[in-house]
Amino acid sequence: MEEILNIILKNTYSLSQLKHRLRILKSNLLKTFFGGENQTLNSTTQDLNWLESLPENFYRKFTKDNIYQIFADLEKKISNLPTLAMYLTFEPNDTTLYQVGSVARKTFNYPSLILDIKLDPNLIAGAALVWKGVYKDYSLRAKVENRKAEIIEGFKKYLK
Amino acid sequence: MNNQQNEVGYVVSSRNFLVQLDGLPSIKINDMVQSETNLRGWVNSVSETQVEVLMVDEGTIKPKQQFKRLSSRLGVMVGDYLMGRAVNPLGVPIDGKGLLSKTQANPVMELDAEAPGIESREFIKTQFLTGITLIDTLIPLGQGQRELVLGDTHSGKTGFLIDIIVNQKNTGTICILALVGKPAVTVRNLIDTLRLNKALDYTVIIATSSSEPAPLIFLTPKTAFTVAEYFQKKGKDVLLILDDLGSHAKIHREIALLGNKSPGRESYPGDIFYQHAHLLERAGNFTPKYGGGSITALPVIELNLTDFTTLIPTNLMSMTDGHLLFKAGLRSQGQIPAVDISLSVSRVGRQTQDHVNNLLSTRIRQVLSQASDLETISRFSSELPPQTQLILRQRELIMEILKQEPLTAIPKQIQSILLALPFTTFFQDKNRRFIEKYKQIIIEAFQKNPTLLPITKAINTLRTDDELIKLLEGAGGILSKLCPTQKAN
Repeated sequence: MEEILNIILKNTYSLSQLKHRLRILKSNLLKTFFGGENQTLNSTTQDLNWLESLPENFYRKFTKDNIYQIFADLEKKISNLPTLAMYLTFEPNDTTLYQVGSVARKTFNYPSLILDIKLDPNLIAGAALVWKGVYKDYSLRAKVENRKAEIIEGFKKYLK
Repeated sequence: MNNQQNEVGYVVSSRNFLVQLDGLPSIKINDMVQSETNLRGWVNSVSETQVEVLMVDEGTIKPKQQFKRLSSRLGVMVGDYLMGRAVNPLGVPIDGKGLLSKTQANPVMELDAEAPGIESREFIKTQFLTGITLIDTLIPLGQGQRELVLGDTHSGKTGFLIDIIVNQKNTGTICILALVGKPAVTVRNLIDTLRLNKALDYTVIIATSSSEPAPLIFLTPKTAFTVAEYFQKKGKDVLLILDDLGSHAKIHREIALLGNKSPGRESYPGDIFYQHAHLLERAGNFTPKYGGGSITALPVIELNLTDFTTLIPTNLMSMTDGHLLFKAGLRSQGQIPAVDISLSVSRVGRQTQDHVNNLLSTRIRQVLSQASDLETISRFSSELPPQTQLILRQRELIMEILKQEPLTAIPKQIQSILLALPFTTFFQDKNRRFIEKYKQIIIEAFQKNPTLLPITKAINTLRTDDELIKLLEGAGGILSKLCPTQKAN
């Protein structure tokens, strides 16, 4: 189980990306084992590329009998992964996710760390992080609030 | 924690007003949390992985919603400005009189304070006067006592409690009325009744209506005690009425069952005794070092078909210093207040009563008990011995004297006189109807008549009930003029 998750996490950095990839992997495997309608039709080229990039021995771990159990266990494992919630003002693309994710894994020293990206336009710019229940705001909003009086004073110079 | 750093938690699951959060690493019980949509909740329990929060504001809780820890704990801002106002358990006014005139200087007191220890307590030695003859003489209360008021519906409990509040006028006692999950109309009516009787000036009402969220209703008695403690610490004598703890127990049961706590007897959680005992321990009479005031607590409980052997009434009986049992049957017979004297008890009050009243109440209790024994025998005999007839008549007179109209107060001295009168020669041939007709005239005579006034004034100097009865023998002549017997019969 650990091995399967580690392979998936190798180039998967965000929680939504992880859940999305698990879904397409599951439907792809179900189609292979049981046939029927291909539910991965809506998958993008990127998704298909990711599926192809997975090694051969990875697919060999799945059988008709264990597929449901493996995915149920994976769901449980995901909820216990070390998660860094990240509030951003934009939706990051895969490249940004890779860059931020790999830095975060190195910094926090958790190879299985996962980012939970949340959108908060009120931050103006920058980011706010939540790690182990502690929220730290590194955004422009926090900086502005910190120096609110100074900024207002600055604006007052131009008011007449 | 500043605005750039705060503890947060995310919703893992929610059921009605109960929310489980993940995160908040250093949260403690009774800390407050707030959602992004400004819905507040308080931490009820903490496990290794999750935090259980009870919401005090109504709104939609979404999965993964963020909750941040607030700097304030579960508390209420207190001050003299609360007097005459009705607020909810979080201190928000509900009486439509506008904002409270509080200032930054007013302290915020935690709702779930621990009861002061034994070193802070003082012997209860002052009587708590209710102005109700039956209570002040037969079942006296002491300042700082906890007396349970229990009875079935329509037995006159609320009216009795309102009377006590109204009778505290000009005594310096602060009254706190906690209305737990009552219908909104009842809350409004009670506020109006107190206002019309000018009792609102020295009363604080803490109320929640039945339509409010269960966690808010659950907090009502805690807030009431917190406000009571504020006044007690200022050296005031406080009367605290909790109406009623039966609803409070039901709300606690609802919260506990929703939170998957194992149900115990009558489906109440195991800590129901703790919840009530923890609360009622906060009442008492305190030494000057701890403020010097007192909190007299009157928890109320409504019974089902006069059955007081169920879990909550018996629990409360064991954690209070006595109880007054109200019966709807007695009320329908015209006995107001409808207190069952034989089944009511005050374990502390008698030590606060003066000697004359103490002796007098013992004598009355003896008559009542003898009369109830003789009553059974009298049914089998057509001709009763004169002594038996006298006892039965005395009981009849006493019971009539003990009847008291709502919203009336009888001064302590007059109460003693009234209860001593059935033992005088003048009253030996009088019946219930005589008292019914002339009770008010007698009360006024002993308060205003220049010949009878010295008797009233002399009561405090007497040492025994016999001396009082002897003194009242002299009033027979004047009373016979004031109350002509022929008209009465």
